Amino acid sequence: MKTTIIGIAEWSIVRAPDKISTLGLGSCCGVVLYDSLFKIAGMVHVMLPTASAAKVLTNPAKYADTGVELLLEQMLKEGARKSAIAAKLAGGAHMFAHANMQSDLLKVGERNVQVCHEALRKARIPLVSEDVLGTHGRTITFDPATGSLHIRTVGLGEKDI
Amino acid sequence: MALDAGTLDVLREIGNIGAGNAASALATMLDDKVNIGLPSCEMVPFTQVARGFKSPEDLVVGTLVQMSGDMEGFVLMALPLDAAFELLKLLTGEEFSGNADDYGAVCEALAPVSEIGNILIGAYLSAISSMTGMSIIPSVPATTVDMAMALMNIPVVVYGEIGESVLYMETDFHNEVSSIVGQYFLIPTVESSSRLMSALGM
Repeated sequence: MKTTIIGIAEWSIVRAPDKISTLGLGSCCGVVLYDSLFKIAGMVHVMLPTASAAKVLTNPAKYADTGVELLLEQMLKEGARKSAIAAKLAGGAHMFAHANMQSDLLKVGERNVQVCHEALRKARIPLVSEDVLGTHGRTITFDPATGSLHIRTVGLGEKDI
Repeated sequence: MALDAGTLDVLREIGNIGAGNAASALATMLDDKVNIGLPSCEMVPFTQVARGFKSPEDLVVGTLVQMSGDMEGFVLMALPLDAAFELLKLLTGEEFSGNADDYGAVCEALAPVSEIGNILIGAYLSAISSMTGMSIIPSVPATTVDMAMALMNIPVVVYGEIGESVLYMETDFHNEVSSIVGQYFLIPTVESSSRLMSALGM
């Protein structure tokens, strides 16, 4: 059994007993799609809400909208069944929330979460659970064998959702 | 974003001047020598943005100041937890006596780092401001204790739209015995980087 770790704007797919993880999500979001019967899970680490602003789309995994689409496509290629795919979501924190700063850049986490929700709704993928927003970074690990998303948050301990 | 080698060299020098002035300010506060390392200024892929830390999950104290005026963007000062405690000990003579696993207590004890960061980032920016003739207005600082990668989401978001890498402008500093080590990250918006070049007649 191994754990695949993905970085910012990356994605990957694993099968049980392997796990998939990403470290230190701040305003970024980690979207997990999984087929609990076939025990296949994919994760994408998106950093910005929508691709529409990008002139040339070089990496769809950067954005919440194209990232979810891309991951769904790849999951189906790997043999997951559309009807069985569900989602879990984490991230979208506002790291300096107490700051008296006027910047949309600092609030991008909120937008990321919103667009992840929209993208999942559009793809008709049920969102089973989520741990989003707040002011803390998160490390997340998904286990396709159990369908559980482990979340470690500095100062707030660990939990499974 | 394509920044040519010449531009990166100029930005590196800017980071050097800012960090040099901040080092003098810290040296005065500590009454000790403060050295700065070789500044780096390069384009770094998103996935490597936390490479200056022990691990992406390394706990660091981050103080963030937003810049407005002629230069927009952010400056982030990052200190590993032990360095932050050492800094406070040297400045206040008080040692942290609480439980290091108690996040609330750690944050409370480290709250004064925000004001120290404010002074150092102020010194950093005023040197850049006098060198370039640009008026840079720093915001009030905000400080948090969290995973290195989560804090480094800020440059990723600033440069995310325009390519697959971030402008990584970093200078580290340390006192004579290296019990205090830290880093400054200058994160100007893309438009501001170009404005900076024209201010310097490039």
